[in-house]
Amino acid sequence: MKQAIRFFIAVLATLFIWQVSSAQRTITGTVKDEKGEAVIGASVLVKGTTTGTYTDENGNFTISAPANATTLVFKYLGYKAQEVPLTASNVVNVSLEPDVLGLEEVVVTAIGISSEKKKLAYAVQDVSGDQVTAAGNNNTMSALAGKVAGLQVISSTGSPGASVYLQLRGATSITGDNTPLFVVDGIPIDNSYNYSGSPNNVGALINNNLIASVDNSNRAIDINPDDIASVTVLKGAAATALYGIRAAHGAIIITTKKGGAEGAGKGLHASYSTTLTMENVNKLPDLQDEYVKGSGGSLRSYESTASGSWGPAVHDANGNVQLYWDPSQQTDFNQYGELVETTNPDTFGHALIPFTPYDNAKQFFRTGHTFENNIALSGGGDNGGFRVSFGSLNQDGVVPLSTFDRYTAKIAGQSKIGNQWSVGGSVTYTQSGGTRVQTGSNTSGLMLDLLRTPISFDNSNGSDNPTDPSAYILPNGYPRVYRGLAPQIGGAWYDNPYWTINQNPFVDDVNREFGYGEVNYSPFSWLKFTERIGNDFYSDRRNQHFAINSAALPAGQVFTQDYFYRHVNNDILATATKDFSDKFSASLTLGNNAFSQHQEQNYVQGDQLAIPNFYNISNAAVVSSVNIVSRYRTYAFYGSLDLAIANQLYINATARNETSSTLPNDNNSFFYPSASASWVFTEPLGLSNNKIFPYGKIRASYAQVGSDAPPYVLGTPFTSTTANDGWTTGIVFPLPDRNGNLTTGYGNAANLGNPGLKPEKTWSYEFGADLRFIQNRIGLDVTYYYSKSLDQIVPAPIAGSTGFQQQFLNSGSIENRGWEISLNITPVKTKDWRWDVGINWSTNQSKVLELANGVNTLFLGGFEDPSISAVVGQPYASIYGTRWLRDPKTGQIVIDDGTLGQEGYPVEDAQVGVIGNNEPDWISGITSTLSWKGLSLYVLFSIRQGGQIWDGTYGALAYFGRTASTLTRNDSTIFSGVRGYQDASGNIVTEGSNTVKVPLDQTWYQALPGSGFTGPAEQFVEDASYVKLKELSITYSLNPKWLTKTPIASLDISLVGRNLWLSTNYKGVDPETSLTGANHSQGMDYFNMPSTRSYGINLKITL
Amino acid sequence: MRYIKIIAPAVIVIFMITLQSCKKGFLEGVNNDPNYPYQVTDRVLLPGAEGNLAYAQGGDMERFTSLMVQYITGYSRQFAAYQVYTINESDVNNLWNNLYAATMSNYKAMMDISSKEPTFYNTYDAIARILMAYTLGMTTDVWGDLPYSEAFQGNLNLTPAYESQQVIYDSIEELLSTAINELNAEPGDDVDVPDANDFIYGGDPTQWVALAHALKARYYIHQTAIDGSANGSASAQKALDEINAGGDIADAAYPFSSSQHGPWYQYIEQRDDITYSAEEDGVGTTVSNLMSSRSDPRYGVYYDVNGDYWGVGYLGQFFSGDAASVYLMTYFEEAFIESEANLRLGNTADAQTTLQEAINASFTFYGLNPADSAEQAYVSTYGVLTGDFNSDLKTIITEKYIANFLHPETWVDFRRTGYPALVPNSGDQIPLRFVYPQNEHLYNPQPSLPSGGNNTSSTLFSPKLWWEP
Repeated sequence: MKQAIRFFIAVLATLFIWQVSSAQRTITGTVKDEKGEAVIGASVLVKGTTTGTYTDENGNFTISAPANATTLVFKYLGYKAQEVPLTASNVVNVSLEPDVLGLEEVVVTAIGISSEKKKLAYAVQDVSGDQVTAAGNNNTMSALAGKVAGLQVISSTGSPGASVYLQLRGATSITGDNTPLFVVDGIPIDNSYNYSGSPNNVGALINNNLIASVDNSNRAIDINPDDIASVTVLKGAAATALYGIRAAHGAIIITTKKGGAEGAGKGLHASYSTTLTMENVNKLPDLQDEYVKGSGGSLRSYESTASGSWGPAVHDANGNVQLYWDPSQQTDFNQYGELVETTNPDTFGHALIPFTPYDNAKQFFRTGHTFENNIALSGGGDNGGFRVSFGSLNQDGVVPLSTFDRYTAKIAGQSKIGNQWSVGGSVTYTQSGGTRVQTGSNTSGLMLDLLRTPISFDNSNGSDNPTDPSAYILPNGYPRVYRGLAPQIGGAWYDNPYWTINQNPFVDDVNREFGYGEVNYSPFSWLKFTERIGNDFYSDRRNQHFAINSAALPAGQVFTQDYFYRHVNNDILATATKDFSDKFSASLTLGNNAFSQHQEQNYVQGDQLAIPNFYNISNAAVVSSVNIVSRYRTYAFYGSLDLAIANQLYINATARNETSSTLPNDNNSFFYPSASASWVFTEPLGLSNNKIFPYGKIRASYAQVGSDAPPYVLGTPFTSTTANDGWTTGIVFPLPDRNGNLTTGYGNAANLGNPGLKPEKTWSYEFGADLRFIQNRIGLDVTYYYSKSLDQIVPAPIAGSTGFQQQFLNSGSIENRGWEISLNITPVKTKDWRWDVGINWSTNQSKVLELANGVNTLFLGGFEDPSISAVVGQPYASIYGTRWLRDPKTGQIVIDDGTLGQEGYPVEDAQVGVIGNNEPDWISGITSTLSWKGLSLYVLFSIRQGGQIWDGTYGALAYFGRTASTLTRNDSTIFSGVRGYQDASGNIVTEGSNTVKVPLDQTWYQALPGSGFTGPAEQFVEDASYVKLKELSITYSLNPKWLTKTPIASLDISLVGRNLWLSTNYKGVDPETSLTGANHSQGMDYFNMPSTRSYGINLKITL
Repeated sequence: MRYIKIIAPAVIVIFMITLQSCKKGFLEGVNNDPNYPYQVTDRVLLPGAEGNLAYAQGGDMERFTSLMVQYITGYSRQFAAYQVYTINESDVNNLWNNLYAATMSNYKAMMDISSKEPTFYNTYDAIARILMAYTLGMTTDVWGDLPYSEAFQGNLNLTPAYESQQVIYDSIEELLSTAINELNAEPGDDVDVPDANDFIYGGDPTQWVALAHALKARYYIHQTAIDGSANGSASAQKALDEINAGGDIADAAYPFSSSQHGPWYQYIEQRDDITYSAEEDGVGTTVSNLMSSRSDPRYGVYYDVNGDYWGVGYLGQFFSGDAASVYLMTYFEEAFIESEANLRLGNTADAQTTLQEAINASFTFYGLNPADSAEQAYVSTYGVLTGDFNSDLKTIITEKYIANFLHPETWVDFRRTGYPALVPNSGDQIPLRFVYPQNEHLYNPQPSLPSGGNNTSSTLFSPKLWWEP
């Protein structure tokens, strides 16, 4: 094995470390820092050429410079670059000065163009690779939470591999996904959230695949965070205009670790890190444990089909137990027998067992484990370098049998060839997937049954083994569920959670490769050509089966769903850079981009299984399949001009002309211009060496970007007929005809094509300031932005009488405005102590200005009632549904005066309306890093203020008498509001405040407007604000001096934790939750899986 | 060196021009949709459109209308609200869209295909017209004024105007008449004729002609309350003429199968928010209690009395079985229409004969034997007319109410005759119509309709339907 690795490394070394001899003059020297200590891995470059090297462990370097070389440039991260003119001497010793203000830091912007931070005229924010993995986070997306001002991060659930929704600066597209583009090493990477379930659920019903499904991943999860060197977040349109359509919602630019790079030094290096964490459920809805299965206060037997916990109380008025198990009434549902209600057990004549409530959730959820390992080898020399890394992530969730595993392998390298050519590239292979968790409005949804189950029923049937069949199968073969014997209750039951995890597993298997290859040719020092081609390819194979006698599919079902994704992205660009004088330099880039995407989905579903426990399509009586192909291409030219004037004024202008395949031929190309300028006003004031206020920059930018339509919406096709009515799954053609032969059936598509579509437009501007005080001990960055999107292509519902149900129209408009503030303070900085505090704060206010003509609401996701909808005049993503009838004069809720026969109870408004909004007032992340010698303590608090969630879980659980709020079922209350009614013409007639006392009993929660199913959705809309301790780590780095005798260069041990503490008024699970996954319809909680808190240990070793 | 500085940009420009010329080929054909056909034939449109009709009728339409006439009881969740007539405009969106966008639009597409080759697809065209008339009739009988002549035009008209229900009825009559003429004049030169792909009649033109006549009779009998003649005799005569012209129909049914279950089966299996009889919920429905009190022999067909299918008191397998059919029109309905028409024309003897024929036909339909004693006893007790118009009308409509179980026609009969007497579940009136759906309100708002009222603030009681007395 050792031999093989050595051979492998040797091959790599020969591939990447080119030895080019062109020695005219050999210069040697030493690079030291301001304290006189050797600087390892500083870059040494012959100015105007690509010839360079790095310093070794002692700070020494040797470089072969051409005879005509005039100057050497020395660079090291965190230090000011230094240029040293060459003299006759062949020895050059240099002492670098620290770059206190960090202005020479280079960030990667659009199309892989690097720029010094000081030159940027728009807001970008960096997150280093170390910050990404600070708390042992294994998902790049969730690891960005709280670390970037203006980036909203919502992890759907705590299930292994669950999706994460990202949004920058609000939603600029009304129906698009609004998530930023992921770019890895200059190549866009797909971050789709692909639903699971039948694509035959067309139109709005596709939404059913989001609200009743499993916790799927979105695909940026395939990036191994340990491979990340840095993340740059491009927030606004000016920053992303060069990327065109796909970065319309911002961009997350990831630069991966490479060997032989600056700071890494020469030679071979190895690193190993391992993280072991444990996860627990962090929050569950507050449930009652006093009332057992029953109705109207009376007990129902285990076999009864009663669904609610409206039975008798466990304790009588004196607090004594009044429920007992009667072992003489043995039942398959409970080992102790039927429950009986008595205050005097002696009257039974045989021993009874006092009842103790079951805590089904506590029994069900486990401690999850995550084990992550990363190993990397890197090497570099004067002319190139390589890095090979392997990562593994193995996760067992808090739900028994749920898993997520990810294996990544990455190889990257770059090399110079001569003085004019250089090449680079990387390939990443990822295999990921696991056994997913059923969630949401899904009769196999785990939370659905788990939380509805009365305290008198033990889902596990006393077994600690989650795979024990006695928990979920009765001796007669039917499922063991709390709602009685399955065949007698028709479809009205939910799968026992143990049934679901054992009998209805969903597994996915993703195989993915992405990477790039790049050739640079620089014929002159001022001119560089780059050709960069990259691809992203994955197959995502999913398999789900439902055993015979599952609640939703009693006849059983098996489906396989294969996604196939491929894109190729090619950029060819030329960059000319010229320093005309010390005071003026210019850079011009021209480029061409071609992007080709191919997506395919093959779905095969087999229903009505013949042989139990055999899950193959061949076992199904009815087989249906769908094949969907989607192709998409764009072609663009772009250019960028940068001017730097007098070290203080920086101007950038970009233009991109893009042509999309999805728009009509005569209207398919669009133009994005952007212009930005920044001015370092402290420079003319001569403050650059000022101790208090050394640096201040103001900036402004304007940009216009466009966007295109989804594929294939210009024409009107016919589609294979599916008939359903919104309540049932319906029928799907082909069907047996009168002779029993299958016949196809086609009909009008629901969507009416629109041959007149044109591109969408968004224009935006931003202003900002970057201010540094007291040696950069205080840094403040403030940005204000505004964007307005016009001609939004929205799938507008249209009147069914047209023969169609919806159409894509250029009719939407939405605006966003907001502030982003980053404040970085270093209150303490001594030889041994350092304390850094960073605060990110942002607010975004969106407003839907227009939808289609006559359309005031547009369904985005969720349920019929409530939905997440875009509503004109409201912030994006309103919660829209049924509400209380209110007196328009006072806004008070109308309380029935007896007209409806429900005197004293609030009245439901017949008209639906806006009942909430998910948009937070502001979000913030606060980090604190305190270090003392080798020890450091890092914490990140994440705060969300405002914004709401529809807590449908709570509403439904109240219906079933399970919430803690139903403990007051024997009490009465006076609803506050005004007595009255709505007359026949819709006017509200009132007669003073309500004083009628009414019971909050089972009737209220089930038949009256208090019902979670039929009552106004408004009453279950809750504030989603929270403060959480998002990340914590305590790291001890071994003193390098102790390691000098060992091959180990560094060794860090960390205790890490995530989500350790949460403060919220939300009554359900962690309010950072999403029913529909990484999708624009945020703000729904309907039996969402809970989040987790995790804690563990991390060890990092470098050699 | 100087030359190169000039040449290099020139090379870039030439290169860019070359790249520009690649654009067309790179994008060409990419947006051609491989997933769906853009041209189809009547042969594939007919089965889909029949399936959609059957599912729309047997789904929301039969559930809502059955609730109105107390065939069923809304028991939990949304149906508990419907039970007390809390039916919002969003609740009927799906039904409207299923009728317009998924069903009738496809009959229109078939008629458009046929109109391009008028002699080649006459049979398909005629069937499309009959089904259009049927669906349009069912739709207008719950909503009144509707879009029709401007409907189904896609981009050509996104806000089709509403026409009065009377004009809709004229269109129905014209559709049926044209279809009858087409089928009768069929010269046999169709290039494609329906066969087993016609789920209803297997493409048999004779049966379709008979159905068209019977449907005309149905829509004439609807108009008896408003035609101005005594007891509606004018409309009754027209109805009788059609029945005589068309003869006895074969039951028009859309069969479901054990592989693609019918709507009542699926509803019970997947939702189960409705109860059906006293055996199930202790209260029962008007119809189940009525039948129970009369020891109606059909009771054991309508309801699962032994609990051997869904459970005791559930809907019987005839209606709720996985392969249960949805009936467009039955022979016994035709006989009931004939009976009512005779009564209205003063032919009481014929009315009684046809009434007994109708009841016996329904026994046969439900798999019972009219010759058995219980059936004979029933007919001789309840199939007897007295000569008093009102009580005889009550007798006929009440028998039709029992026989036409779950069918949307019953609500029409109730509203135009007031029989059988029903006690509202809530308030003091049985709803008279559906509210217009939310999507029409929002996306095709009609501030005024031909009959007065509008489609933006309709209720379950107004505007009134045209044929309501």
